[in-house]
Amino acid sequence: MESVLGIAGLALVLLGSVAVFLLRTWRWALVAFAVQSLGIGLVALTIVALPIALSETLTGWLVSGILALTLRREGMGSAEISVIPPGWLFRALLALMILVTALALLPDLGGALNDPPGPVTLAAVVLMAFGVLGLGLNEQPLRVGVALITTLQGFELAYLWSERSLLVIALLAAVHLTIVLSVIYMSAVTRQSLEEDVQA
Amino acid sequence: MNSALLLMLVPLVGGLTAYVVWPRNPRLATLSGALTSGVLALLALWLPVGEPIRLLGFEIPVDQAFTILGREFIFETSGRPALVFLHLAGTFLFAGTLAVPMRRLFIPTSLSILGAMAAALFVRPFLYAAIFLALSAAAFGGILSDPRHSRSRGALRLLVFVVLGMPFILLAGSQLSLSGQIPSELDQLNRILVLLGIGFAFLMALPPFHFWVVDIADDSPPYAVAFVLTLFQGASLFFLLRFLAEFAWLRTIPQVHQAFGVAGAAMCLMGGILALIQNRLGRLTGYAAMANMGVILLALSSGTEAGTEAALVMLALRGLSLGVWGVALTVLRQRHPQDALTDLRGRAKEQPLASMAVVIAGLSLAGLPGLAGFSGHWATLQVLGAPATPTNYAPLLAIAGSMIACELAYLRFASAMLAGAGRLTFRREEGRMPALFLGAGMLMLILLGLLPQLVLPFIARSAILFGNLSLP
Repeated sequence: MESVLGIAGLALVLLGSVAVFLLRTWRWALVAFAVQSLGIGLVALTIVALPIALSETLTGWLVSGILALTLRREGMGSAEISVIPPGWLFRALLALMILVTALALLPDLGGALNDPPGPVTLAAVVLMAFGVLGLGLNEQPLRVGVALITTLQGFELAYLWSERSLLVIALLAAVHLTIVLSVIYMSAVTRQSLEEDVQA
Repeated sequence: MNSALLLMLVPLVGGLTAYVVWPRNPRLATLSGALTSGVLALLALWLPVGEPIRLLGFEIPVDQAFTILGREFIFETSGRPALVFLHLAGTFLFAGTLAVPMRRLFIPTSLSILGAMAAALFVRPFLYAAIFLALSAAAFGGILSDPRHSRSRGALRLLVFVVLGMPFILLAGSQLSLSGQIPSELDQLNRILVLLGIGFAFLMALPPFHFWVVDIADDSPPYAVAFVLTLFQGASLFFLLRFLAEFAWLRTIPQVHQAFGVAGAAMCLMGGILALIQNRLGRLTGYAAMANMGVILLALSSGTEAGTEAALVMLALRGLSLGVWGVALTVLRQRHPQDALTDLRGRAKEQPLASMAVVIAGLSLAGLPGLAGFSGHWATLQVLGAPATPTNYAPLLAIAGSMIACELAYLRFASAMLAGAGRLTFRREEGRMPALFLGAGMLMLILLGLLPQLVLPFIARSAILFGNLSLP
């Protein structure tokens, strides 16, 4: 049962993180982020108790929800851009390279993460890799925030293997939410300033 | 009464009060913020550890520890100097906002950050402090951006680098606990050292993770920048000191001290050289602050108690210089938002006090003799120069080089500000409060430069409380 959950979770993590990385339309990117968070919860369930795994998923969904509400208010969620953006081939190739590299380095990286089970290591490494790649490719505060949280989710998943302190889980969830609020604020300030410039 | 809980909760209550009071009376809100931080500094200094308070014949029991979700938060004597430093710096910086009004969020956010930093000092195992520092970095977004400073590049980089550094420190911590504190295998020791090295490189803004320092100095409100560069980098340094105090075996590894030396020298050289070629005052101060942090790391690389004392002196005086710089640059930017060399030409005639203060504060940060910042640089040079052997020349040259380069860079800006100024007339265009703050700030920088013995022994003595940090 555990291995089925782990593999299903891993599949959702892979699907979600690749989609978050590739999609430019916010609405679909946030749906993908929610799928990714569900996958993280399922993978986490193979190594921790249900409440802890559930908290991982719920934190991710909360982040998606806050971002969705903000974007809806700002009228950005349904921006008129193609779901498949220009340059998608470049991004798809990068994603493929990341996946292949993660698979190749899996045995070595396990040691640094205190040797968690295979699906946990792979999901964590993929999330961290896509997160760091997203950090490198984006400048917009909201996109950077999503990439940073993805990286942190990957680390959390691996860290759960060696540290199951409730305080740490709660604090990391607080870090996620503070990151989201912070990037929303920065994005709003930039937007307000641009609007003032246009009016001037 | 619980001292740890009190020192963590009072900042939050103070912040909430300041937020509520602000719309009716911003000045009162500012004063309440400064007062809260001042009271917390006094509490951190005087609250007894493990003893009851005797007041008017009554005994009030004081607990020093409490538990949240299975983890302890303990207020210990070793945490006092760091907490006193953070709150005194907070008081000074909050008082400064009377001179340069900040936005409504500044005081509540800053006080909450001080609360998080107090929690970072109290939490057990202390490695979890990295999470509180990441939380602080995320909250800094609220004060480093505003509609007048809408470029959020620096704030974003600070957030990203600090949050990326946290996992490395936590992973190193979990490996340490797996190995029973002292790793026996060479592979494991190397892995832990690499993880710690990367984590602290992110946290302390070592090259190549230093970009946020320069970017916030260029993009964000100068006074908020002074706050971040003083308090956040101060808290990161205290975390590093605590690491060295708690894991005594780390201090027995010569490579650890060598790493501090190499990183410090690199920061000094890089900061000095890049400061020289900057054409914007904000970026120049970013690089000068980086060189300053390099000197602090070099002081720690000595592995002696005197080195730790010199590092703490540097840290305290850096806060004073940056506070005055923050007010001065805010005043300068209020008239003309740009601070490029060409924009500042002749500005000394229009805003003489602010122009003078920004240069004096910068020169103090760079360590010009006769100004406050020199004492820390001189103490570090003395620590590293004894005994005078050829191997000591490299760090000494790095410090001296960075001092000269940063001073020349500030003098270049001073020259531009004075260009075409002719006979200066001291009109008080800065307003009463900014003029008062700038005048008092410059006086303190000069006074502490000429009479460093006034405060330095007190700062240096606090190094003892960090435990014996010298090489065993």
